[in-house]
Formats: sequence, C-alpha cells, structure tokens
Amino acid sequence: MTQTALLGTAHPEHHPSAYPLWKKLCLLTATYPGFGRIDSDISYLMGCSKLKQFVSTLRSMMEPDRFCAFCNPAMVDNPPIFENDLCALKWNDFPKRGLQMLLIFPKAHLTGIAEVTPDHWAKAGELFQKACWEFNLTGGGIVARFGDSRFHAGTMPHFHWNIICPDGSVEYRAPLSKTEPDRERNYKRLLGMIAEVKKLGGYEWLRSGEMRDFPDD
Amino acid sequence: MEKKPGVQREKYLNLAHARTPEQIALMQKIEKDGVCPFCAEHFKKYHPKPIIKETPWWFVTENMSPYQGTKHHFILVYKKKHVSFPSEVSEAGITDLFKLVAFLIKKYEIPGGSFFMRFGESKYTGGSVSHLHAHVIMGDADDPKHEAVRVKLG
Repeated sequence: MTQTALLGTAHPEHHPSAYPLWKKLCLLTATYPGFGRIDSDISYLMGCSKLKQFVSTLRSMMEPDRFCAFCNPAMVDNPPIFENDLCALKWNDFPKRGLQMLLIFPKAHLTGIAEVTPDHWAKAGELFQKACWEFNLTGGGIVARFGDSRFHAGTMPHFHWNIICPDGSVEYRAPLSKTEPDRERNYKRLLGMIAEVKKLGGYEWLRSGEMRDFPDD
Repeated sequence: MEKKPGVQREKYLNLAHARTPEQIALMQKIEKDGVCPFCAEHFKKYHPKPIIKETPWWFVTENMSPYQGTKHHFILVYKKKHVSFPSEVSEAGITDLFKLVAFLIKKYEIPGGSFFMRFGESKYTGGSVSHLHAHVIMGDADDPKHEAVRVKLG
C-alpha cells in the first residue's frame, strides 16, 4: 500500500486535528497500513505521556506479535506475577505516585471487547481476588476501556483491566475521556515524540526493538 | 440491609463524595432511613430512572447523576446481596456482568467507552455508595465543548 493510498483513507472530518499527525505517522512507519484504517489508533498514541510509553504503544501496533508488552512478557522488565489459562496480572509499567497500579489482561492479543469472552472476565476476576489477598488491596477502582479510543482515554490497544488503588496520600482522578484542549495538548506532545523517534532512526529503529531510557521517564 | 448503629455511614454512604445538591439531599434522606439505597429491596424506591434490564445478579439503569461530559452513563448494580468487593460475586455473576456490558454496547451502539467499578473502603474509592456497582461510560467526544470525564479515586 502506498502512502498516497493510505492518505486517501483518512477521515479528517471525524477528527480534523489528527490528519497532519496521521500523515507524519504514516511517513514514520513507512507502509504500515493500520493507521490508514482507524483514527482510533492515533488517539491511543495521543494518550501516551512519556516517550517510552509512546514507543512501546507504537511498536505494539506495528507488530503485536513481536512488541506488544502484554503478549511478550520476556521483552519487558516487569513480567506477569500471576496467570491462569486465559489471563495474566502484572504491575503497571508506568505507575503514578501514591497509587498501587496493576494490570490484568487476556494472554491472547485481543483488542476489541467483542473478542473478550465471559470466561476471560471470570478468569480476570480470579486474578483480581488473588491480588487483593496478596497485596492487601482494601479499596480502589477497576477501569477497562473498549472500542474507538476517541471515546475513552486508553493508551494500549491490547484489552486490559486497570486495577488502581490509592494509598490515601493523593486524590487521583482516573481519565475516562478527553476534551478538545486535551487533544490539542496531546497532539503537540506527540509531534515532539515523533520527532524524537525520527532522530533515533525512525522506522528502522522502531523495528530493531532497541529500547533505552529517555530523559522524561 | 437494615440499619446497624454506628457503622451505617461508612458502610452504606459517603456524603463527602456526593457531587450534586440533589444527590446530597437524597443521600441525607437515605441516611436518615438507615438503609443501603442499592440493596435490591430499596433500589427502586430511591432510584428514579427506569430499569433497563434486570437479571438474577444485576440491575442495569442510567445513572441518576451522570458524570459531566458523558454521552451515556449507565450503572450496573449488584442485587444478590450487600457487597463491596467484586471477589464476593460468583463466577456466574461476573460473566453475567460481562454480558450486560456487551448488551449495553450493542443496544446503545456505543463505539467506544470505559467500564469502571470501585471496590472496598470508600476512603480509597471516592465513591458515594459502597454497595458494589459498575459504570459504563461513553465520553461525548462529538461535542467539541464537552468536559473531560475524570472519576475520583481516593
């Protein structure tokens, strides 16, 4: 698929601010067709607040078999703690101060809630119960985002449940959707991240799988 | 669940986390009544919105005080007994919850959104009602003036 063909499938009327960004992503990722299909992918990337998170999410979209952090536990420093036949549980790679943050996710690369079965929910519940006992979780929230990411605040296409437990020292507000000013701010942030990745070698560097510590991490 | 002196405020309601004057007024009345407003025997008395669907485990209805910035805001209230942890719900109840989320997505043609459930002690959850319930929320992204949806935890 050519870049011209990719550009022709955009829907700027649905998300005007995404269009130039989307074009830049196409150029960055060469012929990867995913970004030509759905604006939702861009919205996931716009939610990434750190360069390492952006690189991880972008790679997982390009080649989930190789780079999805949930599908490839060996490639991350923070592997699952518990698992059963359908789901796994791990600490969040990008924790926030004052919070215990865990993730429960299907072991298969499921990106749509329609792919997640009742059995997945039951097995996720099993892991949640285990985490409550193991980590003495006395209160918090469970957040899962689904579908088109323009309507939520997710940053990772692989379906997952966030377990968020404040320690009482902070008042946390979990983002469930974003506003146009949020998008504009995130858009500018993402342009900067794209420029950084281009400096590192762009598409070839992304495909190499090399990771490094970035100043903002 | 009936009143148990001395513990009902922490057990059922946390007025500090109420968001609207209407919600505070209703919660003050409920507190006087000394009951859990989400327990099955009281739910319909205090919740003015119609029940969209009811199963042996859950009530599904619109939130009477939807979060600002939402296009859809549904709540799914556990009806078997008064619990505050999802681990107290049977496997059948959990799978039923999933089916109800899928039902809402299909019925209301929700293209994307969030599932949210608080659990445990309200001082950590930011919730106003401790009885286990889940939210299904869709942000109103089509409205350029919509508010960001951020739910309080802790």
